[in-house]
Amino acid sequence: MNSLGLSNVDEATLDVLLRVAGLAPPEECRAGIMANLVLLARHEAVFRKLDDPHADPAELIAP
Amino acid sequence: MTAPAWIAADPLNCFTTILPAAPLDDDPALPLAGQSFAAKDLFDVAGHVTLAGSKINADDGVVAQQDATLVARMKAAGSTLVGMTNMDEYAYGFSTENSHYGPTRNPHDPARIAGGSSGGSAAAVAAGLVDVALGSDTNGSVRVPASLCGIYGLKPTFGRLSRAGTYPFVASLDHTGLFARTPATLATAYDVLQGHDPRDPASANRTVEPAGAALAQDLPRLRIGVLGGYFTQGLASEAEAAVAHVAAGLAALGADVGPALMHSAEAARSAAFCMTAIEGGSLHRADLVRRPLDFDPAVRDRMLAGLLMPADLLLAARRVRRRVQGEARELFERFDLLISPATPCSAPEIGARTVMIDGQPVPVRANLGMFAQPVSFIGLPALAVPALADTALPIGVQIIAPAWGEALLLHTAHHLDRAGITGSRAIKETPP
Repeated sequence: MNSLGLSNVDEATLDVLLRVAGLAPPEECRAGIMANLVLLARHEAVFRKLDDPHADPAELIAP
Repeated sequence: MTAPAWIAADPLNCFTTILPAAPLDDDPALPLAGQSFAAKDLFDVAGHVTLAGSKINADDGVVAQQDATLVARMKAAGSTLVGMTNMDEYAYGFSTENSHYGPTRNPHDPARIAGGSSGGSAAAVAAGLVDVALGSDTNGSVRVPASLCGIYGLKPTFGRLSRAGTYPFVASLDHTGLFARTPATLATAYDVLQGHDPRDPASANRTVEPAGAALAQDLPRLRIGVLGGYFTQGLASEAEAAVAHVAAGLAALGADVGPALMHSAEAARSAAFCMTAIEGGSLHRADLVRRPLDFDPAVRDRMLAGLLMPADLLLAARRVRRRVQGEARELFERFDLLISPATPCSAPEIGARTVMIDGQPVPVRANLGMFAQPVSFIGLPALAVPALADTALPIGVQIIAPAWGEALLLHTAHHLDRAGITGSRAIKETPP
């Protein structure tokens, strides 16, 4: 399961996501956003399998 | 090589700005004397608005006060800037089908795309309009158009070439790069462009490592890994033929050629895909809120979706990057260079949403960079070389080196070119 649990995105889910992000794009953007959310979720599912947050620090400061 | 007459008026739409004609610098003391160049329209050119393929930048009208570092270095070396080139909006795409400035057409077949996002630069070089062009490569935007236009395209190691004065896309993945019709021309320009730049915080403080002087020396006995697994899936027959042709050519030049696997390649590509949407969206958040309809719709919706991704996803992508880097380092203990297709197919037609591969329709925009993305994700240097295989249209092979291995890439490409295994094809003298 990816972090958003997205295999499909409905209008209500999109409304919640947009509200949390503080965004209110025009109506003509919604279909494209939903399609891209699904695509991102598919890609997330691919690389999550390789992620081990306990083993790998994300970024190290190099002063 | 000079451009055929039919190309001179830019029917291919390579340029967003063509500068007034200026005499070429003929000072023989300068390494690029007598040469011309173009710059992707995300490089600042003093006195001009850096459009980055956008309407928004054009409307804002901010005029660059100084040249980008790489533009300044090309000029200082004697090359004459001809103009700024078309690109996907904000470099987010692989096709240069720009909704504001129109598509750039492929010089080998104007009904087809040039690839992107540095499509105008690649097409201008392939058409013979300039000797060298500057581009940028975040996910493949030098290597993809180089492949489709049939020229050499170098994406150096992350941090090798300055990004100062370029319009950013994804700061953690952005590289600058360049195109030419021969490895020798590419190496001469690359050598001019090298060198630490304090104006770019990502610029590596390394000694210049010239590539040009050693090109003609004998090639060492190289260990070449031909990437399998992920890099052989979803390939059109011409891409398979190109890789087989270059692999055989390298063997004929004395290399030991064998199979190699990069198990994390698919994950790397997916992580890069997500990182790009998130960081790209974050960069443009203010305009996405204030004037979303001024964006190219395809770019806008990808960036808006990226803004809805959780922070955890970006952290995970960065963690995965460290793992992929580790695997690549291990691979380069066994191989000097790796090769793969540069693109999964040759140039699709303009407007095509899908191409047929193995009898299946595959989305064009999302997949043209699928073999380039895992490499730029970890910052390794890669060179797209035009395979002179028996294919109807040009197509490139990606040669990948360990970090800071650009000189070996160019040295190898020079020998491939000299042996007729790779090379730029002539453009037809009359419009196809």
